[in-house]
Amino acid sequence: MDGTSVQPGLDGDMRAWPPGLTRVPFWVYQESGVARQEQARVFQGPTWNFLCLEADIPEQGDFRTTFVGEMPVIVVRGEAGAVHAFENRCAHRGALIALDDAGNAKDFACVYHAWRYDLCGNLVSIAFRHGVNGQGGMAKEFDMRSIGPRKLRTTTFCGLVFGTMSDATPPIEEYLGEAVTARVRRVLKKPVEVIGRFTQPLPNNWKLYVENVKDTYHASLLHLFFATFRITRLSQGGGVLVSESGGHHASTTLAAPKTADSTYRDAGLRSDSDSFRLADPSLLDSRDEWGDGIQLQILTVFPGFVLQQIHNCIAVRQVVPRGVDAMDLNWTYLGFTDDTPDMRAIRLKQNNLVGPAGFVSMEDGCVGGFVQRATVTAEDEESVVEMGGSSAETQATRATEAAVRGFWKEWRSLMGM
Amino acid sequence: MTDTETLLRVAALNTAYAACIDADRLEDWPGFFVERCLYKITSADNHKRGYAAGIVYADSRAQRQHL
Repeated sequence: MDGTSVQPGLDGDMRAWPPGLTRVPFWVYQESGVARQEQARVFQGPTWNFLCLEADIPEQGDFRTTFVGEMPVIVVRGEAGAVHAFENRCAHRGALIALDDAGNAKDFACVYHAWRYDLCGNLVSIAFRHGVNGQGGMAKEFDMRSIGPRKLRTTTFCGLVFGTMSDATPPIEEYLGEAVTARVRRVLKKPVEVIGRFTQPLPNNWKLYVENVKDTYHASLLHLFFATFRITRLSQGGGVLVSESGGHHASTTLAAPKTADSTYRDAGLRSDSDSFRLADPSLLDSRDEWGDGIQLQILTVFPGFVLQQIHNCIAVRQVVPRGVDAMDLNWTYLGFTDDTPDMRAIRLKQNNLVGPAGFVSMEDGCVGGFVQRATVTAEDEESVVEMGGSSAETQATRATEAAVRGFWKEWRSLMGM
Repeated sequence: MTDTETLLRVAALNTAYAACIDADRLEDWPGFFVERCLYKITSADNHKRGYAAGIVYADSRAQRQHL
């Protein structure tokens, strides 16, 4: 990192960032130079990136293909339970080494020229290395150890597998901080199993989605379902916790009191409407399985991981940038391995709230695109991030954009802006 | 009922179901289901792996009804 506070713009001029954390210029969602730099400085920088669940790769040789930013990665269970991760790129001509989303392998062979890699990502054989009939082949002194796909360091925490390209990334609990660590532990208190996996392609820069997840202010205003059925309203108890770095957050909503709450109706807000009722309200049946009255907890790990608990609906989400103005959101729906059939049925039904067609998540899938479309020629304008003040600190309210400011605090620190 | 008669009735049901959606008569659509039913939209990959969750998952007719 060179410590500079300005960035080269589209035409090579230098762009300055507005002072403080309450303004975000729109060029950060639009410029290819920024997108390239954040691959190196954010995703491949001193950050822990979610790769998969331990439950995805229980046995030796089990692998998933995943991403760190845009970089394709293979994460695999090796010998003695070790978890290895390496770039999904053949050291020979750069083809993908593994093509399937998941599987079990003794080793990996590139389809292009059949170069083989062991489960640690080491190159172990080269087809016709010594040539054919005494002709061709690689030079005698060629050392297979001298090349290979880039390797990641991995760590596991609460059944989650993270990877980092940097030697400077601190241990995961130190990275998250004590408070966020405790919030991850709260949700993932028992072994989980996957009950569904879907990808939601979003028509916006990845940062617009991460901001949306950290934006505790929008949830009950954009999402009619949340406000009308009192899953989360700003007038319910709870708050937002922001890590010291700013990069991670956890927001909580406490169960609604049984008394009437006219806050939204009095403000004339669209999202609380009498005209919406459910013919079968069983979707709203839930259990306080954590025993702490928290009915919604949304948590992010910088840069692109989300852990979600909405009532009994548990999921992890992985943010994968796809160029400047598109991304994939990879959803993995979870249950606990000891779920009773009744509990599992509740989760399956509550999953309707989230995912590509979710009563709530569908709207988050649109709104980033609305920003991307509206700001197409507004690269020199700025968004306003001033709810709840100008700091990026923990607050006892969700009527704040503190966690959004926290994201920019950490992003700018890594980008040297 | 013979197999042929059953097949004809199923084909007629499928045709009526598709015609209802094509004509945007969505309020009539839940009428094609019994009260206790499972309506699930998922992907081939989720189906193959035996994952129970859906993109849409409704275990009663009323969950798709408009009030």
